[in-house]
Amino acid sequence: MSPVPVVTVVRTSTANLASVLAGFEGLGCRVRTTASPEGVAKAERLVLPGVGAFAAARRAIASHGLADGLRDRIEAGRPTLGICLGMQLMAQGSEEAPGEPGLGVIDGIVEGYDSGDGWRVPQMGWNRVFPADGCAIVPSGYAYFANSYRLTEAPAGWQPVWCEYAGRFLAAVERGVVVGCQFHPELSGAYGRALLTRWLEA
Amino acid sequence: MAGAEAVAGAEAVAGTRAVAGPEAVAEAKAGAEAKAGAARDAVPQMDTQAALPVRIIPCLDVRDGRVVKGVKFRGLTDQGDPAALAHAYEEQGADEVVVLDVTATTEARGTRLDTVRAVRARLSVPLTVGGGIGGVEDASALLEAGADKVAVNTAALKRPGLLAELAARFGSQCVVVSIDALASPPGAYEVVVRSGTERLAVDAVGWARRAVELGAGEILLTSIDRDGTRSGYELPLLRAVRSAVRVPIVASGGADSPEHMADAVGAGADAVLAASIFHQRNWTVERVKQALARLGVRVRPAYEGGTDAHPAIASPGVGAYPGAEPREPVR
Repeated sequence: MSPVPVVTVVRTSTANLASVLAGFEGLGCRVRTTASPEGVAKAERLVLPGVGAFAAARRAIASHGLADGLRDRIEAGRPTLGICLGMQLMAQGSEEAPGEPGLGVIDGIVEGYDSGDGWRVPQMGWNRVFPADGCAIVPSGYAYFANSYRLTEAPAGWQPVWCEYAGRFLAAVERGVVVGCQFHPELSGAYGRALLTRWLEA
Repeated sequence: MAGAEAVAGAEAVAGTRAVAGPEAVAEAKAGAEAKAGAARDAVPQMDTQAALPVRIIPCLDVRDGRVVKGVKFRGLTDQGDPAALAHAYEEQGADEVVVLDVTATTEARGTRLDTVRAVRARLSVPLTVGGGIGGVEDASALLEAGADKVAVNTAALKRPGLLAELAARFGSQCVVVSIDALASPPGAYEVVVRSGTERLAVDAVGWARRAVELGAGEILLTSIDRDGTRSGYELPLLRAVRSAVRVPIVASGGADSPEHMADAVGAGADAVLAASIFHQRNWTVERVKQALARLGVRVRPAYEGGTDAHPAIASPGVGAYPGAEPREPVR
């Protein structure tokens, strides 16, 4: 790791980025934002955050011309971290926005929690995550979630991190230094700092 | 830090299984009440034991950039600084922090944003900000400054469509509807504003249901009858709203002990908010969590070492899901 890691955060909308920026700044990183294909291509370490709606976020990526660049760097195994909706955008699509394709780098369709069985939706709070043995970046512990949708099947080619809420779901996936987190490491206190530090040092 | 270690110890988190939480028993009473609710109500309720750990949320009442209400907080040289307090609460194990701006006049908005920025810089758990949010632009500014959720109250009552606008733009998980309720016999609750001085003749349970339909992702439910009384949360209010909505409920108003918090969980709260118990009563978050664990309420365990990763979470592959690690024994 270089003495001062540089982290570039994709900024395609008015979505709140302050927690993500503060999280990396708190770890001593230099933080930039980008909304350009060049920025995505050149970034040493790239974060794709996301709150809000799948369709709006996907269209924002498309309108800024970032989809190919994101796919390229993920397929090339360059350091990339998708957070919450940012992880969901890596999938093939979402029940939240039928017909709106995701980036398609993770096999699977994001699904909503079943509304019939009394679980609170959104899932809002700290849940225990279970990394598969092959995981090198996402630790075991309690992470903070705020989500109404999630992936449920382990995608081919990715190490799964499991969690349970109204059934088993994917808390995160990793493939080398490409990581997608359904939870928010930047809001997960010491646990999140451990995760982000490992990603920065990987 | 010492406090975090104390929590880990008190939760009987054995050294070799330090990440195992108090996956223990929900209070028998809590389960029974939840089941009774499920049988009685239209919205199905799950067993409390299967839910997430109950969130413990200290609330900072801020005016002009300073925490108001008395604060007795050992180890802090400046007891009224919101950022320092928020940071200390996180270190103690707070699951979230709420900042309520009790001035929130137009002139104070710049100060409020500065406060949020300062808190964000020192806080790495979720931050909810409420007080005087009049519209989407106010909310946007707060989120840009570092809030993760915004709590809207009066403005949503005046114009419920605001909730839908906020949810569409930021997602429901960002939108908290703050409801101040006053008992309005027999057995009903009325929404009030301006600290309870203005009654609206709006049914609190009905408003909660509608707010969720419009897009609120969480309810901050304050009993004005109980607020400041230290007599415990208003449990019938919690049960009534719990039976009407599926989103998480944060109980507020009246907490003076962990027992009060456990009662609120039994009545359907997913999180408990408190101010004076932490500011004035020498309860730390970790001690509250220890007491709750003893009462059978599942809480998120703290890790030793403050900002440093605990060795157990620093090593991956602890075990593949599911059930590779034994659950904590019942204590």
